[in-house]
Amino acid sequence: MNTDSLGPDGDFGEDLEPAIQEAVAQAFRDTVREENAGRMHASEAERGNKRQRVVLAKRRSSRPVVRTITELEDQTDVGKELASHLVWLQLMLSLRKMLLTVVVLVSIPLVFLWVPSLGSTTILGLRVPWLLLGLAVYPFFIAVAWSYNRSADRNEQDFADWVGN
Amino acid sequence: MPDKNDLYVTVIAVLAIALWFTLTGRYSARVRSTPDFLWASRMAGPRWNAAAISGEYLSAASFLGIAGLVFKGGVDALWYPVGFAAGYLAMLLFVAAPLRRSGAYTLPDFAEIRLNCVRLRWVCTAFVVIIGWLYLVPQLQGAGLTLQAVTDQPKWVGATVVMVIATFNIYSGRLRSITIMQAFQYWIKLTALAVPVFVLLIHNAGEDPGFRNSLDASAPPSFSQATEVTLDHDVELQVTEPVRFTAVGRVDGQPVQGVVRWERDSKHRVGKDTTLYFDAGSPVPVVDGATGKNSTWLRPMSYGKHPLLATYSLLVALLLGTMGLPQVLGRYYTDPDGRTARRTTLLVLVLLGVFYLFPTVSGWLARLYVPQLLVNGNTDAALLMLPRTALGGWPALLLGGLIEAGAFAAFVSAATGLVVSVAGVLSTDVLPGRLRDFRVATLAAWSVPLVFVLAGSSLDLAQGVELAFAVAASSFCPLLVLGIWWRGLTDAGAAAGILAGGGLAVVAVLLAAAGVLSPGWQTVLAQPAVFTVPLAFLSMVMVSRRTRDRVPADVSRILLRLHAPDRLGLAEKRELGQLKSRVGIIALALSRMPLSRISLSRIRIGRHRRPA
Repeated sequence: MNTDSLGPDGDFGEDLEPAIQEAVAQAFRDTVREENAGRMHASEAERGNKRQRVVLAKRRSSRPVVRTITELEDQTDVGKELASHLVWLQLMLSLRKMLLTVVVLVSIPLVFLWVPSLGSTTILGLRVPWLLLGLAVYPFFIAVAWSYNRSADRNEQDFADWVGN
Repeated sequence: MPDKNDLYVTVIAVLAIALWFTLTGRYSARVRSTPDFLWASRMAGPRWNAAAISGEYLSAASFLGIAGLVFKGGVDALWYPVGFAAGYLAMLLFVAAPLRRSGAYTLPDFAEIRLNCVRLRWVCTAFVVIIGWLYLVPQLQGAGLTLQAVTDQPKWVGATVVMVIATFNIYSGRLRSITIMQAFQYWIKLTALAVPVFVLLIHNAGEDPGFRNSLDASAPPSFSQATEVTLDHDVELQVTEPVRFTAVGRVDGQPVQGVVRWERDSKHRVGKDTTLYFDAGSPVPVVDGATGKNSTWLRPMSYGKHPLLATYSLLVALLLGTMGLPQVLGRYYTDPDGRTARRTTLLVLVLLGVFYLFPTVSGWLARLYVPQLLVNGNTDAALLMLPRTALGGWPALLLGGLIEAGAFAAFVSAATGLVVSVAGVLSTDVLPGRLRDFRVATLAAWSVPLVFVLAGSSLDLAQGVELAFAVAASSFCPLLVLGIWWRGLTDAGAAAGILAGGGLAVVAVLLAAAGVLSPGWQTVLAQPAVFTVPLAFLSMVMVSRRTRDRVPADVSRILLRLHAPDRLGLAEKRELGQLKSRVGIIALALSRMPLSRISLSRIRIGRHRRPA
């Protein structure tokens, strides 16, 4: 599997299977068609009853959003696919960060075991194991957490933007 | 030995903490209506909430236990604070945001929201109670030990003091302070630890370099002055350098009154109530299980019987156990949405990282200044004895009092949160829910841990807390992780996993705490997580696969709700006031008004069913 396509930097829309893109585009076209059909009815009625159609606000931009969100909530096939794609993306992100953390933590005791001399090496007057476990791990955790937050936020942002378009 | 001043300082420190809890409780109790409560908590923002989470999380184990373990075991003990902090990283990566969006206030809530099964809720309830009890033991034990070390009172006195303060808070309806008050807890604990450590470091910089560098020597620590040690229990001492001292009491089963000589690399049993008199400069014989030579103490992978296995198992328990602790979860409810929950967790990591620097340094200072604690094995008291031995005079009293106040703040806040979780669950899910029963439930919540404390546990504080983490990691971690990320989870699978992994962890932990095992088994069973967590995950997945027809019909909708970005507004819109969860309702109601006003039977409680 190409993990790059799942990366936090990837554009959400581009990652989707073409089939889903097509399905959502179809849903969008359906919406437009319905709207046009509605207008046609209105203009027919106008001719007959001399009624004026009053347009208070353009709804063109909000309609598809509602449509896609409804689609998500109503669990249509498109909605399900969209949701599970987001879940998959976020899961892969979490697993990658977790793997990084676990590999680092698990390798520390192994390195101490294989290279005992490291136990008595000092940096700035402090022993490496103390420096590593007492001090350095915390900035590492914070860095992992910070980069995770950024990527997870971006995934959600992309998803929301994409649903909104 | 304790004098009158120590007693006064301790009484003042404990009273100050009791007063603090009463005052914050008073303030919180004034905040009554739901909008007030929401305003008070939501206005707080992630920064305050992060401090509140950290404040509640830093218990006896973090405050006293880590310093004691570092003092005893050296650099290997640093895996404890590393694991305690890493637990929040795992929480962030897999649980924080989706859990917040689920709207669950407790773990049984989550199980019911996700899998809609009442019987699974009961299983979760049982484990909340077990984990709460296991976690309460070290809090009471730590309190007993503090008063014993400083004022020579028997252990039950300290435990009783914590129980009385916490129960008073609960009965007067001031249990869960609002976020801002809880957040101060973190700063109190940090100050109570950081100020003494800084003063001691400055003091240490002025010491003789030979003394300061003695930790590098390939020798056991030595007494800096003539020292008298009276043992309050039987101990086995290991000797790495020849030592000569005067003893009154029983040594190696023989009554002794006079000079004793011990050879290099020997082990000796010393009876209870024996007094040992060491000259200045004499090497320190250390209790069995502690690291003898300083040079070994400085080096990694030197502590215990199977250091690699023990380290990994500890790491698994702490990394995965944090998310399953009953008192942590409710705090996330204060965050308005999933994204804020993530930011809060990041800040928690920062705050914990800052805090955990200090127990490490104090363990190192203790090795220099209070080596006599290695003789009687009361290593958890290291932090308390540090200023008294190193400084003397009024600075010692002042800093000692500060540390005691911080320690009691840790015991009381952790114990209050735990007892409320356990009593809430007991009174609603186990006993018939009436006002009287909540009081009965509070007593029941105290009873079991108290019995454990009085029976006397041989485990160190941090190790005692680790047992609770191990059970949480083997029961609730798989439920949360699979429940949030895997649509195939079923109620039968979840129950099977919790019972298999968690049940086995409970058995192992009880055997380890009883101290009836051979040393080899003790190492394995005292840290069971490396076996029980995979077992829990495996059985959960296997049974769920076999019961595929029990996957909830609306699983996709639930997963969408957990993961959809907050601004789409798909998360369940439940405010605190509309909580359907019984425990949530009760915790919330009790947090906002005096108990006398509440009739629990009048709160309409229904199992919430999702609309079909």
